[in-house]
Amino acid sequence: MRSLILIVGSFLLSITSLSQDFSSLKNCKVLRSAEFSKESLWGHINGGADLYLEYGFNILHFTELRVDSFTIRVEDYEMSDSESAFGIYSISHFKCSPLSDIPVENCQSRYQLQLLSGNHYISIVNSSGTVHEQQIALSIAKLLLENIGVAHFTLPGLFNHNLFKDHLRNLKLYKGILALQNAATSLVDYFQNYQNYLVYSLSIPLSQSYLNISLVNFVNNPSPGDFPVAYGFDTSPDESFMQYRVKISPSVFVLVEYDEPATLEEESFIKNILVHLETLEIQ
Amino acid sequence: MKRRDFVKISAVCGLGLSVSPAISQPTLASDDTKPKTNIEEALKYPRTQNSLPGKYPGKVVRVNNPKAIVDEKISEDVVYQMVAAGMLSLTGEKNIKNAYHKFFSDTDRIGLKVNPVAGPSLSTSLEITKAIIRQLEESGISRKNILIWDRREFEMHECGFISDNFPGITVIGTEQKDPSGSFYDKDGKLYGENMIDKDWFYWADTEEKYDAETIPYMVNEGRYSYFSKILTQMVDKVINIPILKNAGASVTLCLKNLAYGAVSNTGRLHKQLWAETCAEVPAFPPLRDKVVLNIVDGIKGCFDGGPGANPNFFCNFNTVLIGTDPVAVDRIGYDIVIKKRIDEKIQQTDNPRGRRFMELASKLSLGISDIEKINLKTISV
Repeated sequence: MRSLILIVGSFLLSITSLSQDFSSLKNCKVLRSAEFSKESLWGHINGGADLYLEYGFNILHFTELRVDSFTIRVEDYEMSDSESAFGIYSISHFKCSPLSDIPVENCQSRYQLQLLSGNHYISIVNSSGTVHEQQIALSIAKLLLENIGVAHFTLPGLFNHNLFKDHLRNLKLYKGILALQNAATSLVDYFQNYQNYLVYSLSIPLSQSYLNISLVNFVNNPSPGDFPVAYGFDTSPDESFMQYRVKISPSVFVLVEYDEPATLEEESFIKNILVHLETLEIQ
Repeated sequence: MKRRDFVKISAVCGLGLSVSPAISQPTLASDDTKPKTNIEEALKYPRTQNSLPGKYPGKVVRVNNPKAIVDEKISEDVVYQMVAAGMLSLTGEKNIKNAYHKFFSDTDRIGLKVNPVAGPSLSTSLEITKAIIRQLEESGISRKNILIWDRREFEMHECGFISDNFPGITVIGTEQKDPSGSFYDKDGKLYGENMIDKDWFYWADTEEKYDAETIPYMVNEGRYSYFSKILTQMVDKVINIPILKNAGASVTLCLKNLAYGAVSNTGRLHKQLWAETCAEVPAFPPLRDKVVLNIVDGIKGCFDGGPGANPNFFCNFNTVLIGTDPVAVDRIGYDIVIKKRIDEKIQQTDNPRGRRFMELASKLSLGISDIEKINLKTISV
């Protein structure tokens, strides 16, 4: 029987909320600080709150600092679990590079440093993008990690293959229709009538199009209604034209969609992915 | 016509208009699963010569200038030229004074509706606001007749909309704090409660309970969203100045800035009625009959992360969109943002759902959403 390594959320680490202490930072003054619960997040970020709430959110520790002459905004979103934090992180980083001296998943652009540790998604935003501000952000990040601890997120085993290693920074996790509407519009129709799902989605650019691979897990829902029948997962594997659908278990599905490969190399790449799916075993 | 007058007439005619939701439920929504709203009531108000889509239905002027941002600072002079060029192109006039007098008299009280909700890094810019004010003044309109407004006064202050930057101009929000930071007056009443006009409301059959921290931002709970007195009592005309931002795979531009910026108790409206609210609230006379110009600040904007501010997704669009028709302007802005999202691989294709609010607004006769029917003029300065 074909199956899949599912380490989704294999650790349920929920790091304890700690009030933030920036007193050890040089030339640092706290200008503002506040905490926002799931009930009050709306007051802070307005409609943007709905996305965090959909992923599963506990509390936001917000601090605005003046360090040297720079204003830095620190937002530590304590999500309900590590998957939720990974989900928000996955759709929030873009065209940024990891810093090797931060021991957790992170991404730095000129104006922002984002971190993921356990159930924390952290955003550190500076005002003018100078190198000095980026260094301050790095110091803040290290300080925060001292407080909340280092915890790594484990991806589903499906993606633990060399085929994907160059693309994993593009892996997204969606937990509801809002997130799908924001970032994965082609998947919205699949999930319009369902709830309690995780969708890991990896979009791999081909020369003229994309290959999209989605892992769907109906969490705590061993029998997700008519989903398998409605979307062709009931006879697995179903390899239709430019699509591959497979039911891994009654509540876990994989969908691969792609366009006509433009080169032999791409054709081979796609075949290897499909073979990888065929050979997955329970571990 | 004032709302009170209309209610009297309606009562005499047996239309049964009142504040009771039980007798003011709408039927427009085609989707029966959506909560009902009182949009039918809005549609009964006779249109005026100022009603949306205004003097130039379906016409949008896009003004580009790649030098609008120099050394990461927005150039007020360049933005001034962009807005001026757009106004002349829109109206066909030869000078700024005549262009603005197409819409305003010297005695009109003019409200500039800005959008500071994402904070200083992604707000309607001070530069475009100042440019518009300069042009209003050059057209003979006194500063004392100009007001800058939005929902949250403190967010405006945070973004630089303060008297130091705008001397002689009133800066005011519906939701207010006192100097001590309290939302409540000495009698324990929200300052925001004094700022809502209970004669004008958007009713929708959905509600949400707000906790003590959230209620100051919503002003009231229940099924009513009341229009701000700023709009109903303090201004005669409105220039709508949103910023070019995405909202998921859609946009938050003219209609959203008006709809969610003009009424209270909006938290309940996001999940089920986002598109409907964007389309329907501007169909009520306080907005429909007062918003005469839409000037989208597209100098700097974002293509993802919106409506909040995520610096990874900021970009310099270096553009300004101008029109009287908020639906047509939104449609052009939508294409700009969605193209950028596709170019940047944020999404792979356009999704028609993102355009739904414009199609609803078009059905309400607020403007033109069909891209084939929009007259877009693009100019460079």
